[in-house]
Amino acid sequence: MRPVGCRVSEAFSSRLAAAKIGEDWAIAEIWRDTHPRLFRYLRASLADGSAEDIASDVWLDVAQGLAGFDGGESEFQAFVFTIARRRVIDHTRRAARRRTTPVASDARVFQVAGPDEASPRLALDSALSLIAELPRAQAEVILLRVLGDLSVEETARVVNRRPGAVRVLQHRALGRLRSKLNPAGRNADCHSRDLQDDAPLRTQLES
Amino acid sequence: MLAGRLASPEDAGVNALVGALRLPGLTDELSGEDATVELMSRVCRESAPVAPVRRSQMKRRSRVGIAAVTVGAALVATTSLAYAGALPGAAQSTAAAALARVGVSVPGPNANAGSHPDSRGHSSSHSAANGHGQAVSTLARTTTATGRDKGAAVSTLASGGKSHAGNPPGKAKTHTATTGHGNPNPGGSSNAGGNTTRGKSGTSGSGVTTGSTASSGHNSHGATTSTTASDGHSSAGSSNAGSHSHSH
Repeated sequence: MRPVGCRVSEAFSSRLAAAKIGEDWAIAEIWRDTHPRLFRYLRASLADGSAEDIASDVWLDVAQGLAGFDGGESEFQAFVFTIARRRVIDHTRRAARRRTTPVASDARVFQVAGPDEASPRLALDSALSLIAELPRAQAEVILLRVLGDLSVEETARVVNRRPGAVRVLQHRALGRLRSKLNPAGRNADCHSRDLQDDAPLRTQLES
Repeated sequence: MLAGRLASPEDAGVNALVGALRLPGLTDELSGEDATVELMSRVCRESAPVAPVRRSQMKRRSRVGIAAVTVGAALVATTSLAYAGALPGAAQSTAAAALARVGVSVPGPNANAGSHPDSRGHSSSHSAANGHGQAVSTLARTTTATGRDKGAAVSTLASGGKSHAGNPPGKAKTHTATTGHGNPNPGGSSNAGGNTTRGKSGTSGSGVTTGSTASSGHNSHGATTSTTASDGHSSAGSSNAGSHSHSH
């Protein structure tokens, strides 16, 4: 299985063309490539365990809109995650009063060892829980940037914000995550250090 | 893109978190592949648009087919009518000539004419007619008459003397009784009943003249003459009530 995010752009056009006419192999490849990230996005966005049902709805919407879609792999990711975000909003509105509090994450997973050493399942669950604890807009930006592999501009279009606002939300989200993952370093100058240390991370996110 | 290359020690945790988010799909995450792919394939096949090129080709093909069928049907219908001799004369002649070239014999336009074949010809063969037109044209251009007189002169020449143009209003052209009953002028019988507006017919035959005179309604002679003219069927003059004579 290919790592998530490792995409072969050259093959995407032919795969998309085949998927448009209902070729099983092409749809399966697209689904295997995108679904894990989509599912994780939905898990982090929906705390009521409805991610699987919403994912099915999203893929159905994608299939219905595939004939009219025209673009490359990056545009396809934006297309899928835009549908997913709208589904999340709809579902959240319907279940606004039934929202459950996510289980507290265990940040020690990332303090003691990286995901290579820890159980992948435990690392993933903890990461999603940490993201879910972020304010909604910040979590959304991080999820779209990391899981959707979207650029700042693409993320801004998906969330209907200006690119500058997306950068600010991303910066704040990373600062919060650092605070959670490094509780010992939390002190008076933590915030100023986060702003300075954010430069290399931002550079990578922008790349 | 975010593969854990953060150099800062404070970013190691974030780097690990990002790496966890981007792990390959786990088994349970990919468990619903078959059902989802099957559903998506069906939806994609149903919503897949027909290729525009193919559609235009089909349209073009259907148009050509319709045109070919129409032309064929028209050809068969025309040939059938020509074979039955039911086409108009000129079309029948053309069809007979065209079909004769391909070895099909159909009747000509005069096949059923018996002793009265179509004698129509070209107008250019009628030299007399050409001269007549020229004469009329010359008269129209050179006559010194004007107004009604000019029109009457030209019309008389053009019609060979049959035209009544130029006659004063209400004054019929002089007729000569040819049957001996005065019938050529209908005014002879009808005016005998006292129709004062149509009775003044000038110098027509005896019955007509008498009828005209009788149009005043006071001359019994007109009635007598009318009776004679109508072989006794006329009731004119019997009552002077303006009734018309009966003519059966």
